[in-house]
Amino acid sequence: MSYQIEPKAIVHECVDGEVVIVNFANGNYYSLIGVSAFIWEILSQGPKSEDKLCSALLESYQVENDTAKKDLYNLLAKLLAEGLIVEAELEPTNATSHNGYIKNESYLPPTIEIHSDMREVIVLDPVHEVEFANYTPTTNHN
Amino acid sequence: MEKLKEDLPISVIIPAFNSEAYISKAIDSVLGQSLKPAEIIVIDDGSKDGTAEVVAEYKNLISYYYKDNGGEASARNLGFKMSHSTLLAYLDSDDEWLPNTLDLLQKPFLLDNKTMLSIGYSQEIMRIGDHWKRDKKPYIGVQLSATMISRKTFEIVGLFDENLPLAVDTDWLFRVRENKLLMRYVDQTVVYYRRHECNATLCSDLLQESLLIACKSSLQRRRDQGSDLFLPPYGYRRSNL
Repeated sequence: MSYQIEPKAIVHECVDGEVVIVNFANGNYYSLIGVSAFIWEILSQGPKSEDKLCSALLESYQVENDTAKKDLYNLLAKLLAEGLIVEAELEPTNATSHNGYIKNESYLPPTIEIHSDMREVIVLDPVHEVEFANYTPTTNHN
Repeated sequence: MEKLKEDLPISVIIPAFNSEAYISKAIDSVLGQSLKPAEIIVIDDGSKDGTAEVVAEYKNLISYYYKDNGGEASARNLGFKMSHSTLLAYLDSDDEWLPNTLDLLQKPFLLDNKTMLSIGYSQEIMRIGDHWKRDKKPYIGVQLSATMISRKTFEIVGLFDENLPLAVDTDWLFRVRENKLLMRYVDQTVVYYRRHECNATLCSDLLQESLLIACKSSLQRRRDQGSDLFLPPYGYRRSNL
């Protein structure tokens, strides 16, 4: 299976190793650090297969194959559930600048920090009632 | 609700930019308030249209300041600096209050000394054909025109960030919430918010970028200051509308 970053409903940015994502479809915003930020950065270069992501993890971190695989699947499942990635329609590309790059940080299972406090206001096009009431100005103007 | 305290003085601040079409409606909605403000301040953020002429018709009732165009945050900030009252209420120049808006928004401040900010419901009005129509569903938005703010709030969280192109209110309200200041909700519609057609792509791209910056800065501050990483939900929905 291959995945890519959701192309329409999100904006994201990585600064100093932290990825912040805003999802305008569900109104959540997210913080990814460490391993999950690493995976996100690779996905941001284009569609990637699970295998490709897994080998990037193994090449860059000191982690067992089984652990990396399990953690990666968990992370991808969460990203999918939050609508941050989708199954890739394109043929995965092979170029990954992270390949062979050894991360200095130690391996911690990837997590997503989910912030839902702004749900009601971040969603850009809230569904409005189709029906409209007449609007009477609050005062009369001449 | 029984009043526990005397009314507090209120400064109304109307930031305006090229608002000749609507600003008289905004001002009239202030002048028509059941609870009269202590002062009404218009900050003209470098308008090139007839905003100044429209406001001049109210010259004995309003303090008018013209400045070079510097964006929403700079206009709001100048309004704050020119104001004198304990309570502040911003009204965007194309929005309109209901006749009892100031009274409704002031009530939470009279309950005790803890209320720092009150916020009511916004109702959008938009042009459909030749008429302005009112969306039936009011909501609690990030909408300063639906808000009353104690002067003290600014001393704690600072002024509006003049570096942000959009989402200025969102950023500022993040700071209010990070500081755990008490916001009280008013369960009624307090503003008609005029929704304009705009260049959708341009508007929404810039807005999305600005919102991302606001979220990112807020997360950064929470980590730096060691305050709670997660904030309580902003706003709520009424069950019966």
